[in-house]
Amino acid sequence: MIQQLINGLLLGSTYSLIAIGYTLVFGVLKIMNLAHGEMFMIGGFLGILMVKLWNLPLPLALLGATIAAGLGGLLLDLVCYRPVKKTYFLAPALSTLGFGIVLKDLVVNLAGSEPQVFPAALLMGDFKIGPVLVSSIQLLVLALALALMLGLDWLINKTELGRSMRATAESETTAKILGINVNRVTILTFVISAALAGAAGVLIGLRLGKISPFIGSTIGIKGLAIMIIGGLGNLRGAFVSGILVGILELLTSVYVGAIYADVIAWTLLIIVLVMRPQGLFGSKINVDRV
Amino acid sequence: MLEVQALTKKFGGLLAISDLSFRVEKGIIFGVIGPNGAGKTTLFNLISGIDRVTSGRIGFNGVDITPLKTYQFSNLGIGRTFQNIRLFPNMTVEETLRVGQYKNHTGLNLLGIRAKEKKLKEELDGLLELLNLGDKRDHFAGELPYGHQRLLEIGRALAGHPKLLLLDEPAAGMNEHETEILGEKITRIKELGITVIIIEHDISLVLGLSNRVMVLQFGKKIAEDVPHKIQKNPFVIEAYLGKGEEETHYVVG
Repeated sequence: MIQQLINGLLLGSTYSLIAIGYTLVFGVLKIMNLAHGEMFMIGGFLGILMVKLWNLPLPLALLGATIAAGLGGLLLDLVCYRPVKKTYFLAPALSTLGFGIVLKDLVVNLAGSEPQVFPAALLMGDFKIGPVLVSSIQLLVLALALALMLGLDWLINKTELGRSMRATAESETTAKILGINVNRVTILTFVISAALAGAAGVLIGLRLGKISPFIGSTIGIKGLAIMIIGGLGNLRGAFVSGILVGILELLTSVYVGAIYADVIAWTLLIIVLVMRPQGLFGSKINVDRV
Repeated sequence: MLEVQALTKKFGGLLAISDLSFRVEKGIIFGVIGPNGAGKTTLFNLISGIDRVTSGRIGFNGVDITPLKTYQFSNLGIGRTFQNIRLFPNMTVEETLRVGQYKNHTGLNLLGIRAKEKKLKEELDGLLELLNLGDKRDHFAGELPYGHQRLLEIGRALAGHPKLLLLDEPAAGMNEHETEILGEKITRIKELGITVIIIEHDISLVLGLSNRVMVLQFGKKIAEDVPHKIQKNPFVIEAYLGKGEEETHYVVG
């Protein structure tokens, strides 16, 4: 049981990273970034390729994939967000959906539709803490996920960039009046969000041992459900819900059957939407935007 | 300081500001009065860069600011408050003022900024003291009483070191005592060397504070003079002052 809880925690922490990326963009810009799952896929894919093709050590590959995904976020802003009319709320969501589809097709055409597999050499040894079996990879994944989330929390609450993001989230006009370059904040929001997704992609890749080009529409889109479960725009909500879904999935696959695991996030989503539409931890959207 | 020439603003077919010209000298308090819908807030939106002018020129210290981006107005030294308070409800008083200080330190706070950080902290303490908000630093802006919210919004504008401060109905919703304190604060702000333009329906407050007063009606200037002459201007009395006291002040955005 403890073993399953730990495994669930590890799985959940990567879910949290994905959900936090959705939440960041939604919280600051009020749009669904439907290309986020593909940023996550790109990160995982590039991470594996860097290790396989260039023999880069894992930390460098992780860094490289994170930066590459961050650049993807920059492109996403320039191509899909900035030129699009925001007055029609669906427009940016649809343009990001299109961007994601293009990315996925691009990867399939360039690298084929088969999953990319991490070299076995990377899958380091396991060890025991008391009765619990933990792999080094899992520990690494958990530590990195936690570090990234703490870093983001610090950024949002303690730095000037974070404060200007929160100001932009509450009202773009007021932020501009205070001298905040909202375009710059927007770019950085997309870049940070995508970079987190890229890192999550590598971490999931390490866990699964492989990344499929279609993972963006399976695990990636699950992050969207997790964000809504936690409460739209609520970063800490997304974090906790990610862990929660991870643990529930693990318990389900062990005690009910692995094929039911993927049902968890969506079932929870429906329950939350019916019983508590503002999300488990409440929504932080500012409705009275002027 | 501020030179407005032949300013016109149309919203579709509606003429909100029509061929308006006036000057504001450095270091004074300049009052703007007029009935609701006269174009006062529109004027502020143009001077602070929220709305684009239809035609005309706004000179700020000799520079035409009309082509600038909204966020650049603040960097030039124009700060403002809003008629319907626009604070960030989920930020504390301290964080609100820190956001106001934004343009004074760009980039992430990493190395070598310790001295600057110290200076910003000191300024922040000074602002809290000026506005009597010292014991509220960790309160959320959205939870403050109304009068304090108005003061905090002024503080947020001051934190950006404005040369020109635009106050849009700062006394709205305040009781007599709070209005009196507000008046003292605005005088203190003027003494700091900051030029103030104030839109206000509280006619005794605006006549008492201002060095010059401009009266707007239907987007046009109908009078501009020193306060005691404005008080006696028959056009002004008819257009505004005569029915000012009993009127319910509907807020027009």
